[in-house]
Amino acid sequence: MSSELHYNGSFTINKAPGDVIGFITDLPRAITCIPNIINHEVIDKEKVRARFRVDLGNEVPIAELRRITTDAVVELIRWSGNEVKYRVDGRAAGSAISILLTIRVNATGSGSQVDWDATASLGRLLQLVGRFVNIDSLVRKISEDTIHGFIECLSK
Amino acid sequence: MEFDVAIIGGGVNGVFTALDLALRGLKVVLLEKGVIGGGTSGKMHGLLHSGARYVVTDPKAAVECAEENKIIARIAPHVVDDTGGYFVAVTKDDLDFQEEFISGLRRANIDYKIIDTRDAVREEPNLNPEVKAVIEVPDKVVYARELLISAAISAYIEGALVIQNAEVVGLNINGDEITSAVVRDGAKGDIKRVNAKVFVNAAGPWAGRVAGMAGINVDIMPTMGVMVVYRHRLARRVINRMRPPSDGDILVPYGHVSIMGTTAVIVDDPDNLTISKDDIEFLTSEGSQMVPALAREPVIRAYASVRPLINMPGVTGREATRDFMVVRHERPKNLVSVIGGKFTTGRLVGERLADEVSKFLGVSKASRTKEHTLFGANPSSDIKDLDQETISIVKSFEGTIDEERGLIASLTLILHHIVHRSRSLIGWST
Repeated sequence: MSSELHYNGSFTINKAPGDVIGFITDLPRAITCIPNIINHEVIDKEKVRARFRVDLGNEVPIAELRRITTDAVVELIRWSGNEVKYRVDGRAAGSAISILLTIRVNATGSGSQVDWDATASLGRLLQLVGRFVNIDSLVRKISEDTIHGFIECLSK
Repeated sequence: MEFDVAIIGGGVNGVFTALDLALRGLKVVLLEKGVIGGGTSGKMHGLLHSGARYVVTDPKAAVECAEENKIIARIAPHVVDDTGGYFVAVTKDDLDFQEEFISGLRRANIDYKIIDTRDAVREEPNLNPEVKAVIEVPDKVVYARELLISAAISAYIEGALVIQNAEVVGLNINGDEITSAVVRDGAKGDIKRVNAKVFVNAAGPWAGRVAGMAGINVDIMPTMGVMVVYRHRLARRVINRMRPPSDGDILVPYGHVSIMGTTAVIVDDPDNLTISKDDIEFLTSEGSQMVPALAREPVIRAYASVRPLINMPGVTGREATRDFMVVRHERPKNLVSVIGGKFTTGRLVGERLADEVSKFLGVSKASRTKEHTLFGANPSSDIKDLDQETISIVKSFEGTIDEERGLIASLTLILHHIVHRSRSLIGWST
């Protein structure tokens, strides 16, 4: 199994593209809207060190491995027009992980459409996840939770 | 010499299986590749679980832990410190978990008491003064190596032979049965054969390797749990984080030190572990949320144990989510393996393994380990053919300043003696 995964998706939000871009490029603000975040430290406006706890589910046979802690540095690496790129480098269950996330925001009739595309290298963590967990369901759940968190924050 | 049962692995599962089967009158040999408790069991965190940790996520394991917690304290009082334990809510998320946690405690019938946070801080002055809720449970501390050696000596007293430095490197199979284990005798450096009617694979993270010798393809992934040892004992009780089981949520007062556990790190080889600075910092950071003084406490050392995550034929996903699973293989039919298990439930695993072996051998005697007081409460008595020199050293601790601290030394000395005797009895040179 390749240790690199690709996922993409889109969602709409009743906010102008400028507001959405303004929100997702304000990393110190946006990071607080991600569920499962335990704590974070702002390194600078475009870089945050964060600790997440991810629930892998009850199919993992050892209780202590069902919720794993991930320490990561999240960095806004590029912002050009309606496209924003983030890189997440971290460590989970002893494995180096890296995620490259690209977000594009386009105007729709009543708000914005947000398209996202992620490439994740999970290294040895994938051995664990791949054995016991439906990866697609896990990624879908994390994405949905994160999107839900963003929308809630943007709606405030 | 042919044995009824050869047990591979001298961890908590192996020693209690040996004791259980010996108490049923069977002829048993325990083969340990290193020393008793030298693997995962001797590198646990010291917590004799009350079961509280698992009431929400693994209710069956919680009930088993709750029962075994009482049994171990009863049969081995000399190795158990009845400290009690606190579950503490530090964050709002922890507090949100409290209701579900209490419901789980009730369902599992685990005694608990809600403690006023001010009283808790008075009782445990190093506890985070901002703690939001505290629940007391009957957690205890168990001195791992003492328990393992006590059980191994008890097994020997009941007739089992205990051989250390005996690594099983192969299994001879005839038809659909194992006839003998091929054993590398680490003491002499040569190869021996051990014949038995049934073989028990209690090799923990190495269980996959043993099963592989029997032609069983096992998908095994070792995961490392790191423990950090701090110089001083910072709490009277075990301090647990009130949240679903995760990494970095248990602080155990073990003798005069504190042990913080644990992490979950995927490793390639159970014999080759590296503890990173990140692991130590992570545990200190998580622990200091419950006990802030931990952040200032010198780290003496860190150690790691390996837990196996195993996919084995015959084990369904649902069964694998239990605490442990006893597998009677179809082929070879005289091999029984145990997968998983906690230190706290090691006696129960031994009972279940012994039940399976007894069934195979047509033995109807029931397990007695629940009521069998282990050797060690008074180490100078009850050991057959203990030589005079050993007796005099063991007795020399009595009435001295080191009587309590001398227990591990006495037990180790007696273990050395019984291993020596076991080698003679099996016909291996000493």
